[in-house]
Amino acid sequence: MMRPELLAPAGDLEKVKIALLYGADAVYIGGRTFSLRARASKFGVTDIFEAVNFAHKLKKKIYVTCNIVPHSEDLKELDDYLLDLERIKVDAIIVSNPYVLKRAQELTDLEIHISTQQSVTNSIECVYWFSEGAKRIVLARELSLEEIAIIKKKTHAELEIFIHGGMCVSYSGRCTLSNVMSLRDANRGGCAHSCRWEYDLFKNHELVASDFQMASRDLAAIEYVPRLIDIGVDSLKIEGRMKSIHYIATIVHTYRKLIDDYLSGNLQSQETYENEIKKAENRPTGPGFLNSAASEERQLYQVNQFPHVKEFCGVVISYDRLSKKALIEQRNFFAINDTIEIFSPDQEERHFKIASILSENGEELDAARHPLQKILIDSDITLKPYDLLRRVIE
Amino acid sequence: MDIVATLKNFEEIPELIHLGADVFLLESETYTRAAKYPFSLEKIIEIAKILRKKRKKTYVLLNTFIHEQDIEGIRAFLFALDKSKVDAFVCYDFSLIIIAKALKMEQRIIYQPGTMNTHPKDMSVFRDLGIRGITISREITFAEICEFFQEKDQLELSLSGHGYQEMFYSIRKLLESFMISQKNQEFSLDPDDFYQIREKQRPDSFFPIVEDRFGTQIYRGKKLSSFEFIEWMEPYLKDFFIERRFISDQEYYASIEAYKLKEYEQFTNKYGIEYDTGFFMQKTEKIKGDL
Repeated sequence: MMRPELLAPAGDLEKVKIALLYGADAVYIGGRTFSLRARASKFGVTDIFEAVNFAHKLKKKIYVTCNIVPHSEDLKELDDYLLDLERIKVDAIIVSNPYVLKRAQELTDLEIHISTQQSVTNSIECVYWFSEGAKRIVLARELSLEEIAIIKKKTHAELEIFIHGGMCVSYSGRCTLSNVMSLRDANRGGCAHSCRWEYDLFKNHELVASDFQMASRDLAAIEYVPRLIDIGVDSLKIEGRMKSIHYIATIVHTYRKLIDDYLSGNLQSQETYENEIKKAENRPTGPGFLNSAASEERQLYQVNQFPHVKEFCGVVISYDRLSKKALIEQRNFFAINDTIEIFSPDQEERHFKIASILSENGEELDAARHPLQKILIDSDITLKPYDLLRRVIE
Repeated sequence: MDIVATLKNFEEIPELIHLGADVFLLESETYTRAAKYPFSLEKIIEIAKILRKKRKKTYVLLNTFIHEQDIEGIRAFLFALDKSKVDAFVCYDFSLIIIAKALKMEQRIIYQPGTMNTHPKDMSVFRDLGIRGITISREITFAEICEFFQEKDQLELSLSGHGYQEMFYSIRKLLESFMISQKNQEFSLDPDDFYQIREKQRPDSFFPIVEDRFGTQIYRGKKLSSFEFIEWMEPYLKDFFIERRFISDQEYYASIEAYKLKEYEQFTNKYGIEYDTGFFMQKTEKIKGDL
């Protein structure tokens, strides 16, 4: 059985490292100019170069999104950007615009993936883009497992499928709610997520509801990953370039385990993986269009987030084996006597109680209150850089 | 520049001809979503034949996404119309270009995805695909539209320049789903009911919303008018689409007449308050704070 790629998002270099260390085979990132998450991007060409080097040392891959629907003014920098991406050896670019694809082929040997912004919903279009030189198609999120299976049989293109994260409520690329309501261009990285706002609903000019919502539940395909592997899908993709490192680590690690468990014949109960996912900050999730769920079950009404059962509170920077002290960067409040779970890329979770907290200057603290503050804590358990600490909520 | 008008029914043909419509856009029962006046395949063939005799053109609007299970049906549909007098198919989904090309019908395709045709450099790609034309995106400025005109020899250019503009399409049934979530057992969609949504921070903006078996569409709150710009665009546009959704027959006829006769004052005096110029003079920002 083919082992699919696990593809993770990253909005900055730290997230690239976390995603790769916690089990992703590849990471997709967006630059500041041609990415739909330009608003959140911290990736100049130098940063992309660093991400590529980090990934390649681990024999993993970096893909760069160039998937805005460009206006003329955006295209002025295109050629130089494509040449830069080839020079720094990114593994592929993700495009939605025919001219960007054409230009990439004329100027470079970059591998090309067709973005979900193109909303490819059938095998005929997959065959076309493959014949035009695209190696992979990121299929539209509106497809069922059955449709994906048929498409896989009819094309030589690699197929990439979203398995977790936020979903556009519209077909991707065909929504300008944000343009109209906020003057922010949804197809050029400015989406204001107008679909997640609350509206009054009128019927024949009479108010019939004052809490109309149309937001989608997030996608969580835990139940369907084995079937997607059986179908032969080439890449399983997680959405969320704007999410925290804790979210990325948790989701990536869970799907890594799920894929590996299935391929090794050790698949555990669905609940096991779901409980792991719940440790991250998720909105309510559903299977999207992968199954034939009733329409309303795909939607999100009156709820914003699941209460997560563990709170991300710090990242390990270093650990001194002699003093048994760890230098950590605080991310959320924790205090003496809190129970902490150590979340590590390659070990089972372990727990310890916070016995002392010191500032970098050695000052004793009763709690870690300040985000990004560097602090020292005692831990008899050996910690490693990029281990994440979660406060167990009693 | 030809004026493209949506045909309501067979009996309306003389009236639209009299007003000056050059092209008749027909909605299909099977492949037009949010269709208000759909026609069967047989009726499309019949109307196209009549219009050809009257030296008028017939376009068919195909604005659904083609999923795997739709391929054979849409192929048969196009094939059935191959020998008909239909002049062009106005297509929303890129894959229709490929399906039409396999049937050697690509020269009758006008690619109208709503949002994706935002710059003229794509035109060489579409020219190489052999299609008839493209419709310029709805969300770009007049200056950006004019950039297309420098490349007008590559393909026929068209614009949807008047009436309510669609700004959102989802396969999800958003009204029905919401009503079910509210446990509203009595909810049923009557095609004659008019739904709107209003965002709470924009109390004066009502956005029409339509749901049918293909999903949900949302439209701009104000109708678009091109009166101020049409003189500049006319030499370069092959087709000018006048949208009919949510507009009374009387107002629709008046709009066709206004563009045909280039007499806009009477229309503006009567209906102008409900219209604006959309994105013609309004840039959008890529990153919050750009503007």
